[in-house]
Amino acid sequence: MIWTPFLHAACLTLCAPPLQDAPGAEPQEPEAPKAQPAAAPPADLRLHAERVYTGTGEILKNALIEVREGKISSLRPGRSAPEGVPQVKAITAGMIDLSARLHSNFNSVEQSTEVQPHLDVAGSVNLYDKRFARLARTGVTTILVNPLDRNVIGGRGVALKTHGPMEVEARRLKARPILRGAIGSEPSAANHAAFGRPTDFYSRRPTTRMGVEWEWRKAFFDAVAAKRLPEMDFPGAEDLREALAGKRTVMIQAWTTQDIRTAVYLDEEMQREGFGDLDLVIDAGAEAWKEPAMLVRNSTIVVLPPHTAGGRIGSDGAFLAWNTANQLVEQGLTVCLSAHGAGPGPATLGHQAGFAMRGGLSFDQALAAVTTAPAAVLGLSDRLGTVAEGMDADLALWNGRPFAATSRVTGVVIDGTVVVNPR
Amino acid sequence: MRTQRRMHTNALLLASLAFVASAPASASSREGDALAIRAEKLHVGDGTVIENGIVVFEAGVITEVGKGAPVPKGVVLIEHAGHLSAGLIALREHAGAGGESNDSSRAVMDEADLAFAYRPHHSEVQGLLEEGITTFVLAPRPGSLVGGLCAVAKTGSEVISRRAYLSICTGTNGLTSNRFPTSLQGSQAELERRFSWPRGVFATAVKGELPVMLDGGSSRTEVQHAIGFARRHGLKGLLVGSTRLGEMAAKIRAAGLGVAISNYAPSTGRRVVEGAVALSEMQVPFGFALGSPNNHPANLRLTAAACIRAGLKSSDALRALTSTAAQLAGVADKVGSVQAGLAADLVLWSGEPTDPGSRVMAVYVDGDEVFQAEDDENGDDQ
Repeated sequence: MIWTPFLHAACLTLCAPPLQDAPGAEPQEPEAPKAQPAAAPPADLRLHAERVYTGTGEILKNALIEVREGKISSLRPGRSAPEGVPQVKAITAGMIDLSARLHSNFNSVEQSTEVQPHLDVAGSVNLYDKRFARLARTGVTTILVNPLDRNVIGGRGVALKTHGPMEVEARRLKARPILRGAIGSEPSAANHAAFGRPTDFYSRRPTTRMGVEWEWRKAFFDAVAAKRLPEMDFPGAEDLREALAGKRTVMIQAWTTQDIRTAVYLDEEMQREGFGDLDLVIDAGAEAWKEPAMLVRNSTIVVLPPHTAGGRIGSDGAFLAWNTANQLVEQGLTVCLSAHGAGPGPATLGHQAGFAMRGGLSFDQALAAVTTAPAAVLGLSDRLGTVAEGMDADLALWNGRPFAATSRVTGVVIDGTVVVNPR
Repeated sequence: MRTQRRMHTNALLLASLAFVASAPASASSREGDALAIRAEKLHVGDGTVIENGIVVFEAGVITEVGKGAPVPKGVVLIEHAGHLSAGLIALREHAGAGGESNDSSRAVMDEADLAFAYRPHHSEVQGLLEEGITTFVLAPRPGSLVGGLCAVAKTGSEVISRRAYLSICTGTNGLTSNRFPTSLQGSQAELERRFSWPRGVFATAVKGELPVMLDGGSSRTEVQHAIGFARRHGLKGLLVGSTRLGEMAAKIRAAGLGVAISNYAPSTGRRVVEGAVALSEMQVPFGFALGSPNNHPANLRLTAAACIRAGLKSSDALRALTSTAAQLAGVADKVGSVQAGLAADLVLWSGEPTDPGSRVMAVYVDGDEVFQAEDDENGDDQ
């Protein structure tokens, strides 16, 4: 029998507890007219859901959500839906994908040198790219955009909502700064030794994994040295020093266990040298399951790539198991899930959560992996990831239990704007 | 000699009066000979049309224009049974440089002077005259961040302005995969650096003394970046290279920029022509880019005609081809209108200049007749 993600997902649905929607099971407050405070303006948007999965482990039944000025202004369980208010089966916080990869491909990476910590990918983001809207339709409301991983250190990432103003600076979230880089075969992919006279800058380091690692180490050493020797200063040195000081998250793509190990060892070397301590996030860490102990030791956060039918993923041929997310969580690691974009096909971020549940992850853990965990990486837990009063009104509206294969996102709200109408 | 030639042209004129032929073969005013042309319709360039208007020019410069403009005694008056306009102006053009208008070795060639790329007798230039184009902005081909200083050249003649624009590509057109920058953020960082602490031509541009020709790239995001860039640094000048400019008309107007409309081509769809209408409605000054020798010189007028079909007023289209283009290129005191004091760059048309069915019958640059259509009887196109 061939096990495809869809069959797994189908199995998951069968095993999942049915959505309990027996009416009247919960005490309902009568809709008696109450004296409303005169000052309260009417809500911009009201939604009713049989279940609101708040993201704090709580499930609010028959909840009425009110939205004012892009924020959740009230969240009250045990209500029946007032006339004309859209009713859905379930609501979760909008999902967050830290590895959405909506960059503009080769235009998003400055390859003239391999270390570019100071360049901000925001300059190359194309918000008119249809993938933003496509991603929003799947319930992903916030993403991190990073440069294409063709540099050792690609630069700063930018956190964006998937819907909003059409200018990047207006849409940019005040997230914790991200320094993005890569370890593995991709940063050295186009480089080659010079035969005779070099004709372009691809005849350069690195051409090997070893060279990639060397560039990382050199960048940090140079940045530290430049602090004492101003003549050694270079663009991006300050960004690297901020990363060492923990003021910036260092997000490194490392698919295989070898590359994940390199990233962790790099961090540990910096600590040993007394240079600092990187706030390390491994992106696309498919093989994190092979040596989880070092990740636990270093309290590294792992963003997993999308599940595939055969398990193999990425240019380095890494193997992601169905139970990887669960194994890592069981070890106490923080795991985020990712769908790597909005490509055609069914494997949305919601599906990834379902696949991870098939691998043993509980619903709450799966929900956290696509909402609260990535929100925390972005330093935006006070705005994103949970459904609560005062939070951004970024909501995914479901027609059944979230992440079940028979459920899908039927409505999306971003900053209080109905991006996809559930009706 | 002078008298002899005048008599010769007089004789020719008399001989051809019955057929109301186009201009005689050797008409010239450069050596001091005055000439006068009476056209059935004379397009001044500001939108007015003078019926049976007369233009008198001497030593390459227009001296009188009007319906009853006095023709000095002894001056040859050429009768033209058709329209007359100022020579057309192409904004952003590469002809005459023989493909040497972009130095790809460096991303920033701020002091590169396109005047030194111009070869007036290059074969690429002759084709422009045949389409009535007498002036053009010689710009670097896209491919550099800063391509150099654009020159305004007379077709087949001299450069009349050497620092018309500083050519800048803010979008993907400035990227190359084998030298810095290869990325949009790299290009933006470099341009921000150059313009935030400006020196040389960058300082001149920031002061508003040197306009820029901004090639933002084709996508909306790139155009948005280009407009934002111009606003941030207080730059004045032209936006070029996108079919999306019409959609951004309000923003372009707010930034005080002009536009060079790209060629209408099957690949651009109707965006270009509808954009021209939108720009016109928003009163954004615009002219037409050409980009020969890659594009046929006829495309300048054909694009204008396509815009008219989309709703642009014919007079606005002609203005965009002549006087507005001259203003945008900073040479309105020299060319672009049929006005006393301006160069006698004139085109005699068989009909309405913006009608693609009209033919160029004769072209004068600085009073010299530099092109004359072959007679229908002798021509092989009839």
